[in-house]
This record gives sequence, C-alpha cells and structure tokens, in this order.
Amino acid sequence: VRAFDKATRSHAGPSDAALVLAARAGEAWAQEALFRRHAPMVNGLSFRLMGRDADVDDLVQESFVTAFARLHALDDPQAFASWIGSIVVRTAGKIIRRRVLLERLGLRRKRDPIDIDTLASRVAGPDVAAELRRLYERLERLPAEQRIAFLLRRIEGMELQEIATTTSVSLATAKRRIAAAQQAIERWADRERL
Amino acid sequence: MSRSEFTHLVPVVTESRLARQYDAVRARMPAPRRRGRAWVGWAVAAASTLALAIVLWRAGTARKNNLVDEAVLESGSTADSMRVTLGDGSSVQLGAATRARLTSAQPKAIRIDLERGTIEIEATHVDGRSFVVGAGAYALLGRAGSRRASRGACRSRRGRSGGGRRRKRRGDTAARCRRAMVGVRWRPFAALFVVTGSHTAGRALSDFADPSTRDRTAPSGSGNDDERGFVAP
Repeated sequence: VRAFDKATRSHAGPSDAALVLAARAGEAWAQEALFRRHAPMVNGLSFRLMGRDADVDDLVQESFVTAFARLHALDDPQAFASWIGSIVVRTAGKIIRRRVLLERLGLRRKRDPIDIDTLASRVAGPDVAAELRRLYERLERLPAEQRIAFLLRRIEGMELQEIATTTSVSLATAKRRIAAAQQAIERWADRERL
Repeated sequence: MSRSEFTHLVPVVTESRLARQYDAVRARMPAPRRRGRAWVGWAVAAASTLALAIVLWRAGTARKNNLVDEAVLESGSTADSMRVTLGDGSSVQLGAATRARLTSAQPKAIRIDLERGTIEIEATHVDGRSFVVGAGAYALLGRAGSRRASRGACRSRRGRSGGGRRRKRRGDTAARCRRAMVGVRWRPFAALFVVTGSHTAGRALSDFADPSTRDRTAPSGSGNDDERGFVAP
C-alpha cells in the first residue's frame, strides 16, 4: 500500500475519495481524472511485473476496465491506489498464466527474449542493465505466482502482509512463494557461475 | 542486486501513450449511467401514462354522457306526476302531460329544457356546476355560491310563498332557500335550492318564443310577478 500511495501523494486537486464517488455517479471526467492520476504508477507496476514494454498497454487497460467496472465494490474510496494496484497484480497473474498455458499447448509462439534496452532506462549502467536482464530471464521461468510474489517483495518493496493481501493468499503462502522464487533464482545463478 | 537498482525499471509513459490507453479503456467501458437524468425518463413516462389515462377517462365519460344528453323526459296525460332523480341527487318532477329534454348532463353543466307542461326541479348544489333550466327563450341559471351548504330538504312550492328570500329563522333550513321561476336569473347561495318553473303549453310557450315580448330577467318580487307568464291561467 505504501508503495502504491507514493505515486499520488504529490497530486493536487480532488481527493481520490471524491473522484471515486463522482465516478460511481457516472461522471466521465472523474474516471479520466482517476486514470490520469494513477496511470503512471500502474504503468510502472505493469512494466516491472510483465518485464516487457509490449505487454504493458494490455495490462493497464485491463486493470482500469476492471477497476471502473467494480468501483462500487471499493469499500474505502480513498484507498483507490492500493486497490487498483492489487487489481494489476491479479490481472498480471492471469495474463501470465494464460500465456504460459497457450505456449504449452502450442497455440502461442514462445515469447521473444527480453530486450534490455526497453526494460532498463537509459541512465542505467551496462552492468545494471545486464543484471536486470539476467534476473528477468530467470523470472520468466518461474511460475506466475512465485514471480509476482518475488517482484512485489524485492522490487516493489512491499511488506509480506501486503503481498498476502494483494495476491489474496495467506501470509504463509506468500512467504513460501517468495522463498521458492528466491531459491530458484539462486540455484540458477550458482549453475551459471559454475 | 539491491533494490535501488530496480529504480531503472521505468517504462516510457508519454502523454500520447496515456491518451491511447485511456481511449481504449473508455471504449471498453459501458456507457455511464447518469443518475441525475434518470428521473427525466421516469417523469416523461409518468406524464405520458397520466395523459393517456385522462384521455381514456374523458373519452369514456363523454361516451357515457352522450347517452344521457338530449334524453327526453315525458309524463303521461293522467294526473300522476313523474319524478326523475339525477346522479347528483337533483330531482326533476314532471307534471301531467309534460315533456322536458335533458339537453346536457355534463358534470359541470346541467341543462333541462321544458317543452311543455309543468316541471318542478330540486337541484343539488355542486361547486362549479351550473344548473340551467330553459323554457323557450328564457333560462333560469343556478350557479355555485360561496355559502356553506344548508342541510335538509329545501323546497318551495309554486304559489305558496312567492319569490324572494324568506326571513331567516334559527333552525329553519327553508330560510336559506329561495324560490325562483323560469326566466329569472338567480344566483343561489345555498347548496340545495329549489327551482320551480311551470307553464303550460300554448300561450306561455308562445310568449317564451319571442324574447321581445318579455323581459328575460323578470324581477323576483311577489309571487305573482315571478309566475307571470309561467303559470297556467
């Protein structure tokens, strides 16, 4: 929640709660204001979860469509940022699982290797860019649940309880997924060193 | 790898990209329901239903009234009189060999035209309703007054008390009644009033037929004046 909230603290204008209430009443301008306010955060989260810039647009659109359609189910209108963050996480998991399934069934061709030039910003050094590319290549081989839990923990900096809440699992399950992802990545790193 | 290195993982989010994303979101969203305008549709539907109901009701009422309008009330030549009671409680008593036409039986206007014989009408006061009794070229008008309705029967017979208002006594409901004759314009102030108009066919009708031969607003002074030209000789 803390990580998602950072993106909206500096924004002026109506509060998220006011915009949510207006959007619930059918005001299109309020929906657009919510989108404009939280789209940068959602784009960044989607980018880090999916690892490909080409997948970001689909995830962002799917997440906002889901959020606006279920806006009446949001108990705390002020918590829109964390709420749509959890929607992004769940939607990313669905997209990843669906793609993996389609690839295994041969209905979808294997994805192209991660292009680090589109993944890391231009200000990143070559060593950082190479490290990021290796990490995402390893994450590509992880199950979607472990991959998302690891990213939320190591990249988004979320607390374990927040990860459990966002991914709708128990705290123990969240810990187990993160630990499994960590072990797999370290194991692959050891093999590469050998 | 420290977490700070992941700060380099930022997508390129331009204004055009955001606009493109939002256009796609908006295209997939159902049209927002504007609660504020929902009542307009309901109001239009309710008004249309009400208007249709009024039209149907008036059409039905008109059809029903058309059956009564122009109805002819006619009594026989015997000495027995015939009494007809209208829906509002008004009663029309026809003398022997009398013919009267119920020209209009609308809720706001009742008109009875005497064609021959003697007629005695006991009209119930209804606010906003006119009660007109016509005889030839003359008409007696009864219109709504502002006084409270008197209770009990109120009746005045021809030749008994003459015209004009009776002296008001306590408990005397008849004091609020006045007798009027055909051809006399009269504004009753009681809920129940009596209209007594009588004439016989022949001379009286011929007198009515020519308004120039008689004042249309005959004074309601004495009984003889009131009944001038209306009473069988």
